[in-house]
Amino acid sequence: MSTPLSIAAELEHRSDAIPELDRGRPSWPIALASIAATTLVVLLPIGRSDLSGLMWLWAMALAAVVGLNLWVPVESWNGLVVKWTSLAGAIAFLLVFPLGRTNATLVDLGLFVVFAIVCLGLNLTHGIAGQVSLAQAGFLGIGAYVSVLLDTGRPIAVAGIETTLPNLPFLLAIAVAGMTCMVFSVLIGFPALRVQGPWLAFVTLAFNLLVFLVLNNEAGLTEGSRGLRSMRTDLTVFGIDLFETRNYYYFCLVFLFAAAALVWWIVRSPWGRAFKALRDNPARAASLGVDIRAYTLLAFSIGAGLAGVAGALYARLIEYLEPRAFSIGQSFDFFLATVIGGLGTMVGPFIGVSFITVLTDRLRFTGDYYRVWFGLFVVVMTLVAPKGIAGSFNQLRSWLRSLR
Amino acid sequence: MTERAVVRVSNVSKSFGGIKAVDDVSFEVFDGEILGVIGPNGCGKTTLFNCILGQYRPDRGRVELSGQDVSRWPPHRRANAGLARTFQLLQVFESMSVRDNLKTAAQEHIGSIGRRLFRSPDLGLGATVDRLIERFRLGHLADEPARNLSYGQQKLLDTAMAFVSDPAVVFLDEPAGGVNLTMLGDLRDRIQDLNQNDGTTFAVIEHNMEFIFGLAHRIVVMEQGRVLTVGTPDEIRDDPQVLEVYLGG
Repeated sequence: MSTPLSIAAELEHRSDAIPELDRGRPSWPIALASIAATTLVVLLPIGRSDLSGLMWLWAMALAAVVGLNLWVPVESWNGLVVKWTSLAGAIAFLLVFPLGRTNATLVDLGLFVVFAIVCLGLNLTHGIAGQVSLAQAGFLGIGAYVSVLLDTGRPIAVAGIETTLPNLPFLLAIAVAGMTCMVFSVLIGFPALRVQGPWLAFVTLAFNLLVFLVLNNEAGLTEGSRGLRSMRTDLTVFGIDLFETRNYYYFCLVFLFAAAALVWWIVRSPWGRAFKALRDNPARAASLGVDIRAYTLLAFSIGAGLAGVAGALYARLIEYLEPRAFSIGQSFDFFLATVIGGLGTMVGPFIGVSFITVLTDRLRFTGDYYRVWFGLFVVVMTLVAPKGIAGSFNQLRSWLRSLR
Repeated sequence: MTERAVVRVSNVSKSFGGIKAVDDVSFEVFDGEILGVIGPNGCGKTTLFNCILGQYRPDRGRVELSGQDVSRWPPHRRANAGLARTFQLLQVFESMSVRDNLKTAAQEHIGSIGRRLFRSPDLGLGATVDRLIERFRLGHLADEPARNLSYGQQKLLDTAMAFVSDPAVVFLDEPAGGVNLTMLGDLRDRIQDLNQNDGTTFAVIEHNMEFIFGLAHRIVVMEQGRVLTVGTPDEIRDDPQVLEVYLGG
């Protein structure tokens, strides 16, 4: 018996499965359906903390958007229309959804944005360049602590030296946080030149552990397990008061869009091809002139830099830092989000982070058993969709194409 | 054919533990020729290629490209200096399209790594790559991921990737291995075409005697890590030493 997915897998091996590029003609019904469904998805949740009344309508609209994306061939004019309306819809959703929400919801949304930045970076490091990293929470932590320590002017006492830390502008602190992580990533990038796969995972895991221990034990610098308060009280950037949680959410969103644009640019640039070559076959890549040392270090530092920037944003979003938030468990969550979303795809990190966020929320009732249920879901997901959710969409799409 | 050495290998040795895989080997690759490298299994042909192209560092000896010592260079640097190769087992980037495989093979020769991020994704390689795709008759598969290609088509792609950067010398490690008879003729035609019309220099390891004797201008015979003899195909065919190695005397 052949399941849809195995048929799709078979089709991938048939060279005649993909027809000649023929964009066809745009059709108005499809364009209108796409715009209407996307508009409903964006507008229905406005101002409602509880969707139950319109939930079914919203779910149908969302299903219509997903369905159109699956059904309409990507290369056709219709496909382009559907794709761009969906993308515009997603951006509009992130812009419009926060209107009329409580601060608690805005912080949750902000967390989604921050984690999505981390996973975008990890997707480049792991999904595109093939370098496994279980240290992203460590980089998030470095970024968070560095930014807070640099822009608050607090007094510290480390190794018998008492001094006062600088009070840099927030934007500069974010940049320094990102760059600090890039420097650290080069340190763990060097082992990556020698070891790959599971061994590289261990090396990065050890690094994350090290970061956690330093954050936890260097109390003179980090306040240790008591935690570090990082209030937004006097944070103003370009005349915008970021003390307002909504303003701060939009501030984070700008960074998410910039990160997505950056990753998109890199992946389609010559660097993207070199990264994929490094992932697919490093020995062949080197024999064709790809400097695998440079590209490995680049892959790590871009991922780490984005995690560092995300860390700086995280610190002021949560307003309280404790080392536990940057332990290896969080690194696994980033790893799983990226894998479940779909490695090497542009939408994968977004899907993965939404999935993990929603799952964490839905599983709250399980209390202490949360990790058990979460692990079970991950196992099932890996079995059902080994290429992640985005990867399964692609398989489903080619299966649908074969039906025509 | 001019008798100018593009690649000069002088007294190169490479040992693994107690085994001397390559033992004091010296020879030259002349500009514009097709040089065959033959010898029984395990005689060090592939190790020799790995020393020339940087996958291994020779224990002793020098490898020169146009008079420049490249013995200590990493493989990517030698590749960018004009030494291209294929491997014994075919090596393509499976998840990437045929076109992207070739662009990857060509791009690292263009400009600096930093500049490349800001250039157009195509780097102006589109036309060169398309011409090569047509030349290797992969046109209908240009946008197909390499893993969807048949073994023979992947082998063609693998070979094409070695040429796209217009290298000084192309080292082919058993290009005819696992290729069917029709494809074999195709492969020979293509190597000859590139050699005669483009002046590409080749060094070719091969076990298929008919194939290499019909193709090469000169042949290096190796045995137990050493060069046994060098000569034209006719000289090699009549050499009693070579017969002894292959037929066990």
